[in-house]
Amino acid sequence: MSKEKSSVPMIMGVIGGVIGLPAAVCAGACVAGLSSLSESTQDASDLGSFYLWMGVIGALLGLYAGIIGKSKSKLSAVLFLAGGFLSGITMIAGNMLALIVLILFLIGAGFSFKNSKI
Amino acid sequence: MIEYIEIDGFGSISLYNLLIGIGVIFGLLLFENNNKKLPERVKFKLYNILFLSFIFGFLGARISDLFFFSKAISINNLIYGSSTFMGGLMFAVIFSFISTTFARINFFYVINIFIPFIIISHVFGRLGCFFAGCCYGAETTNNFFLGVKFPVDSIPYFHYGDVIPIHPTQLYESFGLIIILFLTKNKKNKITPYLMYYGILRFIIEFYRNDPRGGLLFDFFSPSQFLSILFICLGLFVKWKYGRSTTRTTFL
Repeated sequence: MSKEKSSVPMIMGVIGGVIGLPAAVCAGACVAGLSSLSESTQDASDLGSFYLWMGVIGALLGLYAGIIGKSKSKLSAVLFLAGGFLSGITMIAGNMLALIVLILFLIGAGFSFKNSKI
Repeated sequence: MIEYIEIDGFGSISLYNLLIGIGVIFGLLLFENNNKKLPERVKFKLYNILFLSFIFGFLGARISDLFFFSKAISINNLIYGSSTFMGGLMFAVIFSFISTTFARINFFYVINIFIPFIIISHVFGRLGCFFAGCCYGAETTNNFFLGVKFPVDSIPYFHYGDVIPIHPTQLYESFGLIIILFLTKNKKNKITPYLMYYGILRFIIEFYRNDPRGGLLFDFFSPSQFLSILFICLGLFVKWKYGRSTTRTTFL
């Protein structure tokens, strides 16, 4: 009897995505706000945008990885790792929710690798 | 009302977003369960369409909100603004139409199998609205058994200036959507009943809502009521189309 593929990557991806997206927006705004105290307004805005996009792309990659978790497991695992990496970087901006997102994506990546062997 | 879940040292997670996520998970599980027999390559195509439609739908929900409330089109308003479900759904469907043309999958077939996903995500989304205090209803009497009092500092409190019983329109809609989910469950054509029942449900609920409704053409009906009428007409159109070529819906 063949084993069924796990739904864990999908759950991790979606939950990570919905937590990561707004957290990325907050991280971008926080960085822009804090940087404006010490740097020019333009530099602060650029830095904020950088972290915002980093977090948004990371969360979207994780969300996508979760959705395709069952049909393309290997690709899903790689995307989880990439999404986790990008989201994890935003921790520098004081976005501690990114740590939760990173852990969720790593669990998702592990289960996707496991799914790919079924 | 619980707007945020606080996690010490990490920050807060919006319950509204979390409930939408839970809705998407249940929607995807239902999608998996209903389409077990589909080949993996077809499922992969469908998941791609679903994901991209979701993103475009989200953007569409924000853009239509800017349009209905005559707000300035700016990145700030897009990121921090509010959303309109019906506008988002229309954008998502338009995107699905374009992507199914490129992917060479029958458009009606795809929408038909996405309907349970849309309904279940929407049910949880409305529960999220209830916890966030948005999409609230009109004032009701103290002895009306369904009346809900939102606490001080909630959005309805700021609107009414007092803690008063109001219609829990978010819960009405969630409950109505669960009924629609069961009514469409065993139907071969889910599009017509969904569009018609949801159109009717939303049209009625709009009379009991009292959050800012925006404007379109004239003030007697809200923009969502115009869209409800459009949904009902589209439902009838699909019924007419299905009646002529039922086989198109069963094959990719």
